[in-house]
Amino acid sequence: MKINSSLLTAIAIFGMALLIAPVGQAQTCNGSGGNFIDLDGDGFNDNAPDADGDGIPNGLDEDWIKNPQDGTGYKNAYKKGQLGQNSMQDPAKAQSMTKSQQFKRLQMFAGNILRNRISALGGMNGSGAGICDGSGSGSGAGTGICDGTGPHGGGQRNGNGGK
Amino acid sequence: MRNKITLSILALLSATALATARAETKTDLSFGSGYQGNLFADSNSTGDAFATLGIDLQHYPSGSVQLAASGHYNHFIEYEDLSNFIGDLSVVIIPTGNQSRTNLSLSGAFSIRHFGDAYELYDQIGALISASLGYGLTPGIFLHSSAAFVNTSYTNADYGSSRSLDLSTGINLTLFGANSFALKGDFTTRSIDQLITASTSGSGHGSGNEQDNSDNYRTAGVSLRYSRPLSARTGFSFSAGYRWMHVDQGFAVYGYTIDYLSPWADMWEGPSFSAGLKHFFPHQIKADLSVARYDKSFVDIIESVDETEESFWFESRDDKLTAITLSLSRPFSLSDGRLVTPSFNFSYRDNNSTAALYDYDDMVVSMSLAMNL
Repeated sequence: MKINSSLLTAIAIFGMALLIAPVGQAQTCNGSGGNFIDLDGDGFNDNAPDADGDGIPNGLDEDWIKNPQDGTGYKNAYKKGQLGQNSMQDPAKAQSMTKSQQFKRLQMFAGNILRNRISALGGMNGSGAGICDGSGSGSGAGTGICDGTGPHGGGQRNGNGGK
Repeated sequence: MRNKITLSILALLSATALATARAETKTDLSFGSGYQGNLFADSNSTGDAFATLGIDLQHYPSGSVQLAASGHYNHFIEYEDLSNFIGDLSVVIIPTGNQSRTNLSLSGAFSIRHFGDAYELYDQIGALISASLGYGLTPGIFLHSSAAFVNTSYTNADYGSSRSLDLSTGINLTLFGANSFALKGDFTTRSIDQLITASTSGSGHGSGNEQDNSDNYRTAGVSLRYSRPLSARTGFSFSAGYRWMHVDQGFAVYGYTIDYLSPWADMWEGPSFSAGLKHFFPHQIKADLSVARYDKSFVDIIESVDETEESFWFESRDDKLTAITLSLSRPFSLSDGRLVTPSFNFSYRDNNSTAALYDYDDMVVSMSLAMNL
């Protein structure tokens, strides 16, 4: 009992420390932290611009300055090692985004469920292998791994197979 | 009929949008290969190598409309009939503007999946219509809710087709700088066509009379996710959830259909936990690592002991599944700005079940290459 109490206390202290611990500048929009949003649950700021769409925020992306896809705007708007503000709340920055970038931002804030649900149509898992859902390290319970079962089909099982 | 109407609407919208000037179109090609050690996720541990090829088209007539089409082919070397083609068409419209605190999203999708002869029972057609609503209460608090109607037809099977209504709502909030919390609740009610045995329920032997039937079942779930950066290059998340299921008394499904393509694969209840780390290494290497644990109590399964005498064995099935996945990728841009992303994926699952057949472990290793065309 004493051990359980100590363990819970330790976990609580660790949790509190984690909550208030500062994070690196690149995560908090120039250190302010005021615009940090993580709707996709990967632990990174969704407001961090990603000019070339490779999934790496500009501030951590070693090649984004060399090859900006749109050729304009970003080079001047965001310097290397510095992340931006909420693009959807800044008309000038929103306009400098491509249509696909604008759409993906809107989709994230609309809480669109199609991306998750389309793969679940009738149990379609659509993966690399066609076996697991292949969604990788998902952030929420119930995602990111196979469902723990496998196809048998007709005649795969010896002596069983009800129908 | 409903699927044909959905397909026609999608085709019409696609044609209209394609004619729009100043649209942006993105085309992605991907291919890969790998090996899975336990294809059927059971104690027989049957493995096979596979190769994949896929193409994705995304068309943006504006920043608020996406039309998408994709085709993916998964080829298995030894179990050729397990090879399958997946085709998807979808449209997403977000009529609310950039500056609105309210975001409405309307979606429609149509999918097909086709297998070889030995697995033709799993050929299926799906259609989905959904609406999602998000509202930014403050810069750090988002509310969202959604509703979706999903129709799935197993075209070569007398059972398994279903119609479901999915509802969900939740809140995302950011506290103390960079601590993000996401609380979500969801509810699903589904009507499913299946064969059931009418006379016996629970564990034990019995003789059953097969009947064509349509059953309803409902699931509800809650989940809480916490995420935050651990450093400028590392993100962390932890999730915990619980899922409840309600089925009619005596509800049971055939054991061999409790599998990854089964319409009943998600018929379980219990808790789940997962934790993930995402890290950006130098030289643009991205890594995602996740660990998950599920405690699944499935609906009773029916095993046929002797098909000629129609003798059945009803068995409960409780699984404890632990899974680890690792993904490494290294995106880079070509001289013309096109993106190429090689990636490596590894996953391991260990499943302990009260049903001996489902005691298994599985490992998948794969490599893939995706590129913008």
